[in-house]
Amino acid sequence: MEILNKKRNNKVFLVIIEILILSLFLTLNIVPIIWGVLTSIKNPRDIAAFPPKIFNFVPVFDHYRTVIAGGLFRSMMVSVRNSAVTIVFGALIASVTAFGFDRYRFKGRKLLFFCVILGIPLSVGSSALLIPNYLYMVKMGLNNRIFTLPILYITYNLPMAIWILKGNIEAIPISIDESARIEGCSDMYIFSHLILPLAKPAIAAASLFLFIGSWNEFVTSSVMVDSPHLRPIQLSIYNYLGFFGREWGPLTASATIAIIPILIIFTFLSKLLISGLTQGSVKG
Amino acid sequence: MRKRINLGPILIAPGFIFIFMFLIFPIFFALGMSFFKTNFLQFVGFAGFDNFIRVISHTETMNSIGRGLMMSLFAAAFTMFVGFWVAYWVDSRSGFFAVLLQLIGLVPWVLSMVVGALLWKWIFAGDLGLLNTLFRALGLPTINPLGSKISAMNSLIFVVSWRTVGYSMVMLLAGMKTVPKELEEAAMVDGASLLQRIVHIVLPLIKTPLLVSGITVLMSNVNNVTVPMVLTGGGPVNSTNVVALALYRMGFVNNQYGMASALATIVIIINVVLIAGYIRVVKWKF
Repeated sequence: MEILNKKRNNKVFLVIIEILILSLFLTLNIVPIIWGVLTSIKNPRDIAAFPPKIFNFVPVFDHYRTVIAGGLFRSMMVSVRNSAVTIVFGALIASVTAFGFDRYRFKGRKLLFFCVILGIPLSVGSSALLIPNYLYMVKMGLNNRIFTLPILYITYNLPMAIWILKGNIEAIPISIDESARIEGCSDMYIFSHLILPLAKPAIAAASLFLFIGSWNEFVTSSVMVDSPHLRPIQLSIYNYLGFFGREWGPLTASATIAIIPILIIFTFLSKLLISGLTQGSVKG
Repeated sequence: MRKRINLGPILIAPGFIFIFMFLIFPIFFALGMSFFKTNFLQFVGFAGFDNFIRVISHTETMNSIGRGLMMSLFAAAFTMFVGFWVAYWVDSRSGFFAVLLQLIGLVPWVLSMVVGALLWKWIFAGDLGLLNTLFRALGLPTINPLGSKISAMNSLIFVVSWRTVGYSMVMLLAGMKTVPKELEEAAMVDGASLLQRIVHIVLPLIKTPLLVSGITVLMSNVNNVTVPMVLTGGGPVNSTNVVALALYRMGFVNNQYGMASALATIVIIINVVLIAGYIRVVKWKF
């Protein structure tokens, strides 16, 4: 009886440890955001208060006014524009490319698809490519233009988008194409009226990656654009770090503004994100 | 019936213009440039291996390579370790907490690195930061995580891995879902310990997602400029000046583009090794 009790106690103990560790994990993931949001709506006196005020303070929105007056709204619009262009062109180009790869046979196809696969990790390492890309863009007069960042964001996220779409298009039976062709449909009609509607989930997943990639990008934008009217939101936040220094109110307010769109989209589309991420590592 | 022209090459052309111009070509451009002397943005003559020699003989730059690799390896190992255990736990459960864990786990990964590093910088900041507030509440002496060399590096490793744990967890979890539960149960009946089950059953069966996510995380760490730039700015006294940050500064702060191209070539070589690994393990076919 005693041994049984001991065993049960041990088990209870293990479960408690387990719950504690996992709660710590959850806390670490979520507390920085909550703490940031709380800081952004406190007045400076409440920010400096000890013990810290969790809910017992009057929320103020002064910091938001400060950062918006400092041009954050304009930067946000730049990011919205960059992301929109990146998503529309990126998804279009990626689906055309994936369709071309899957439904046609041509010379060099395998080698070129290899380049796409190569591009996935390569774009993760895009900061190593920043020096050559910068010099190259400057030489061609392509830096600090309205299209500079969308071009680069499309490129950096294109391999992943093609990869996601290719995986989906190859699952659409080729007999659909064949019967449409017998009916006299053109290739482009097959693409736009049959393949695209069937590949909708993959297009959405690819768009999600394009969005996250362009909305969150910082390093490339910090060197490629200079003019205030081309400055995306992440770059503005980074500049605030130098400008506001230790004024955490405006800093956390700008951070909060930048994460709202991402969190909204993530809440609704996390399943798509996960399916895109795991492609190529789980199923063949 | 009219002959159908092969549209394949035409369809993939636009995508490849982008990929070749801004992903593949820059690699060769960096390699080429590293053999030229530069004055600000102008090429002013052939330099042979001078740029490489200058990079190699510059102690701080060489240190930054070692530091960058060390930071990346530690952070990736930490990420994979934590990611594995959380995934293993989620895989063995179902229900609200498991779903929540997977979702919340991925949040740091979808946040921008600027925001993530900024939020942690605020938590670590001086006496007002949440960390020291907590320490004071517990009656512990306050610390300054970003103030000393070793603790700044530890903080950097922590924030860099914090960002990627969710990603590795999701990848590993997807792999674990394909492992039949009966295998582990059978081993359990035969008396295999938890460690034995993991080493001999789970790990071999999730090899692909393990390697794919491990390499991706490692690459993303090696090339991470943003987190060190925002969190520590490379300090104190270069202690967190990792190679990606050193490269960025050599080019865009000091305008030494020739030398920076040589260093970029070295970083690209490191990346190529990792990419070769990635290509080997990821499942791609026609």
